[in-house]
Amino acid sequence: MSLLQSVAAIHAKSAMEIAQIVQQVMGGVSIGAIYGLLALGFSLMFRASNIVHFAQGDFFMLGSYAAITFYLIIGLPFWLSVILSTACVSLVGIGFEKIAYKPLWKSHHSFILMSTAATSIVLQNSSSLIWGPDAWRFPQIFSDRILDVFGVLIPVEIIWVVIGAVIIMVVFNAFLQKTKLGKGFRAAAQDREMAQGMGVSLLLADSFVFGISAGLGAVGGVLVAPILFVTPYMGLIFTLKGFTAAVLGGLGSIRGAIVGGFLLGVMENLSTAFISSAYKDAIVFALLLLILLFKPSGLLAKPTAEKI
Amino acid sequence: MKGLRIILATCFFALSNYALKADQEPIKVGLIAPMTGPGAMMGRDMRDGALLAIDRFNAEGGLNGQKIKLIVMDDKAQPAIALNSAKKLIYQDTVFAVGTTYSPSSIAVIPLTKETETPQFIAGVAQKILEMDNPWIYRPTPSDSVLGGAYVTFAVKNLRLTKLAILSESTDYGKGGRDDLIKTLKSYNIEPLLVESYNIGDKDFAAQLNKIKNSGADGLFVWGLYVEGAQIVRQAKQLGLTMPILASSGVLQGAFLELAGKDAEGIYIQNYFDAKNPAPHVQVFVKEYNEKFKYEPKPGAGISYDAMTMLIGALKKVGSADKAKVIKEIKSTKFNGVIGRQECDNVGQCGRGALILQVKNGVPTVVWSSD
Repeated sequence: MSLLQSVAAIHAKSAMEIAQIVQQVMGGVSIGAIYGLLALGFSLMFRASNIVHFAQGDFFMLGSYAAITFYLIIGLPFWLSVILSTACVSLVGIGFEKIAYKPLWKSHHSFILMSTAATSIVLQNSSSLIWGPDAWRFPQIFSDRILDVFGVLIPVEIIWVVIGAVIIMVVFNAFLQKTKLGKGFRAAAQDREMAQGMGVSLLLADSFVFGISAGLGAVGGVLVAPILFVTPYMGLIFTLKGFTAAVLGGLGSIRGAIVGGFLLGVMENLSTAFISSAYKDAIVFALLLLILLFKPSGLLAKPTAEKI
Repeated sequence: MKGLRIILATCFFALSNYALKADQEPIKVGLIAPMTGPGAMMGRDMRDGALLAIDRFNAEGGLNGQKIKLIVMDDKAQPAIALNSAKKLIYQDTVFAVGTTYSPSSIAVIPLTKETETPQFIAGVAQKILEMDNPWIYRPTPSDSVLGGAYVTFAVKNLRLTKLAILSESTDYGKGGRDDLIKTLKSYNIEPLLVESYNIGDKDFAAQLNKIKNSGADGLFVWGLYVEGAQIVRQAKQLGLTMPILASSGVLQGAFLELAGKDAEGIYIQNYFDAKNPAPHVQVFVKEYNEKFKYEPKPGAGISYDAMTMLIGALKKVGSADKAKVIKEIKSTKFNGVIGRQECDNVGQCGRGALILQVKNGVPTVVWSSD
């Protein structure tokens, strides 16, 4: 009897521990979906134009503010706000490509890199001027219910964010792989001259890359606006995390970006759970260094020959 | 004709006298605060609180006609920028005194004010500030040990909590608060159950909160600022944390209550200033502030207001802008400021008050006071 009881107790205890681990993994998956969206923008940009775009997180922030403007201030329906926000931020992205990057196209990479950092500063400070320095709270869009699945608590709004992010990733991937337009842009990313010879408009392809990567950031920003507080300077941390996720999965790899995002989120949460929250970022960035040293093409990407 | 001459002469004298007064060099006071970036709200509060005291002093004629001019420098909450701003203020503008806002910026500026013998008022509450041996500083903000000590006493004695977890920001402010909590807990023979941290700017705290939930803690101290604080409170509710949350004064800055909304219900917040504090001198301040700036004063406004009130009081008493005499006078005054009792010790700690509020129906209500 006592044996039975203790066996039951052990089972209950390990079940609880498993629930705790699952809870941490779920937390990682939800923030990882957001990292993945940002990583996607990074990877797309890097693959198409060899640029590490340091304003990626700021387009994300801009998306949140656009959503606030359309939904909260103007009062449009949420679905329309999502579309308009994404479209507007994409246009801003294209605008920056024409004004801030295109003139530098023929100069050294580092100039464009600096220009992206400048874009980030411009976006942060203009947002602070337009929407004020204080944080905004977006109204509740998704249900505030919390599901209890065998002791693992999952807020319903997080499920929506993850589903939204995954849908965007899948649609985007399908667009690049399956449609003629997508294939054309991939070709332009691989070999500009050859693609042009085959009838791909480079002007359009460049605009597409910048527009889409800004739009990807924006739609992520719109998605998370209801679950995070929106501040003009929130982009920085997402730039950092998105970039890390992209490198983790292999900078330039679309699938790698998605996997890298989820992996980063889960790793962060597990290192907090089992080691210490004080070392959370240290552990993740140490891992990033290791990957850069020993597998610079990322965990998922096939090793490729250096572009000449 | 003669009459006209007399009138003209009078006018001339009146004007020249006026011009003389206008020419008189103002007493310049520098304020180094984040005016852009995540801390911009705090910077605005600090500026406006100081301006309220200064404008009243100037309107009342100043120090024999000599007025105070506030020069605000934006340090973006970065110590390096704060130090450069302080150098500009002291060497170029030759200010009479400087004020600094956050602890890291204050710590960066302290050696310079010591070297140049410039009075410095400080809002940041890190313990380290008092250990830097600078006789020219004064801090109207109640120190972390004053606040932390009062908070722990409240948690242990009033709420009867014994298994306490701490979640703090990984800055001087958060670490200072954490260390003070641990120290005071020790005096009650209590070890914190769990000590976790996060970075400023972090958006997701699920990992830390789940860990705290599973540890079986019966109370949680949160030591940080308002955007993160609001997100922590919100996620804690979502993840089913039911223990009392005791948040630091930094959490109540800015728009904490609007951000956290109904999730803030029931949490404790430590403070030293509350706009609804019924004390008459606080209500006068709140009313004047509201009329002038059209928004409610926050603790940051109270800090700089008290700091300037102390400076102005000392200037009036000394009768001239003599730095050494004024700082000596500030340190020997005792008065009841809008952020509580002010009584400086020899290391420059002046603020002595502590309030504990609980959010009830969305309104922080005083449930405990040190006085």
